[in-house]
Amino acid sequence: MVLVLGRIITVASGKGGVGKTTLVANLGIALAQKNFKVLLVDADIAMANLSLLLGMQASPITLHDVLVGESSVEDAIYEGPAGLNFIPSGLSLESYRRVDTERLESVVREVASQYDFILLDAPPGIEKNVMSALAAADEILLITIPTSPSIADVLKTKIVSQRLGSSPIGIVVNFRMGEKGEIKDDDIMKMLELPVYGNIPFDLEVRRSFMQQNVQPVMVRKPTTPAAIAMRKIAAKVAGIKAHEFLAEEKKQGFLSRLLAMFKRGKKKPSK
Amino acid sequence: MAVFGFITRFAAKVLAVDSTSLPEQQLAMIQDVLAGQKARVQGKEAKELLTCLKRKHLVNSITLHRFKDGLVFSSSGNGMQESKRGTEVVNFVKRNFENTDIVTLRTGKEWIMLMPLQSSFYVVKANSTLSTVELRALAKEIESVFKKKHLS
Repeated sequence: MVLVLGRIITVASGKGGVGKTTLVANLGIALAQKNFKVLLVDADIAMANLSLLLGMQASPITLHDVLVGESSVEDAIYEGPAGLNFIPSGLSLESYRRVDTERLESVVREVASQYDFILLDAPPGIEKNVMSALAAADEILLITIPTSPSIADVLKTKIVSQRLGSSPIGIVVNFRMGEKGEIKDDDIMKMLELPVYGNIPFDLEVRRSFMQQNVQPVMVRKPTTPAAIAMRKIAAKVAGIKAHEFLAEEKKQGFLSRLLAMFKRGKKKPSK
Repeated sequence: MAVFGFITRFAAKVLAVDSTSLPEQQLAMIQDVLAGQKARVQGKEAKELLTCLKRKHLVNSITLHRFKDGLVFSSSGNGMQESKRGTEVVNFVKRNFENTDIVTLRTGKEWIMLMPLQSSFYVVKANSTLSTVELRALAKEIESVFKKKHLS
């Protein structure tokens, strides 16, 4: 029997705070809304917060337990918004100290045949934990903001990921505000020798999504806001679907499916 | 003065004046870094290939000993001796500490990583330690380059 593995993509940047976690969460939801089987993995072992962004605080079994070898990967999978699956990372500093991040690749590959897309949220920088997240994937989607320090750092991440045998596929430019001093797509493409997958405009709705009683990714809370639309276009590009098809069908889904997705949130995936 | 500053900021806000400009010097610096990082793997001879990979992976030397055919490739001149000594060290450590994966040693000026992998043995020297992930990626690339160049 031949197992077809899903695409394993790590979202990485050089700097912290450029929107990796937000992109992973919303990209995952956008793909899941298109009926792709999606698994998100919080590979930011030390500073995990993807679970907080997905509105899932209580996760008794985490990636830490799996990497320590105390739990199976199946037990650490939870169901998230729009029916996507999610492996949270632990918040405890104690368990972080015991984790062997070099096992990440084998953990991810163990479940890769069950999904169309596995998206890993990498930590910032180029230290050991980052390298494990980069090496665990076949493809790397880089994210930067349109300023020179951020681009200089993402360039380093690109070089390191190539050194580790992964293929950078493209770059996402976040927090575009249209100011004169921002570095243009053409220059970014020339410098990084990669295609720009999309620009996400600075959008206060993304920030407001964290400031709710029940935190919800913007793709669920405000799917028609400019940043959400931009991220859906990026999802279309990642999936190899034409953007207008991706967006048109989205409109048909409308309010009801989003409401259903909201109710699904936090529900644990049934054990296999 | 403070009033003037306030009025300037207020006017800029109301008129949406964009006072930013493209940091040309910083972009030139990034271009320089980029140009320096392009270590393409070229060359016909194994030693030449390993020297290219050494530059790409920022290590001081790479030695590969293939047990299946007994061939030793090295970016430095004394590959056979390095491999022999390295194997002895790993065997000694393995006898005392079961399931040893990689042995890392610190000498006066550099780190030496000894890694048996499948039917090969690698000796990598660098100014800082490499993680298992990095060493495996290096080994994988050597194998793949050698295969392409029909050196396997």
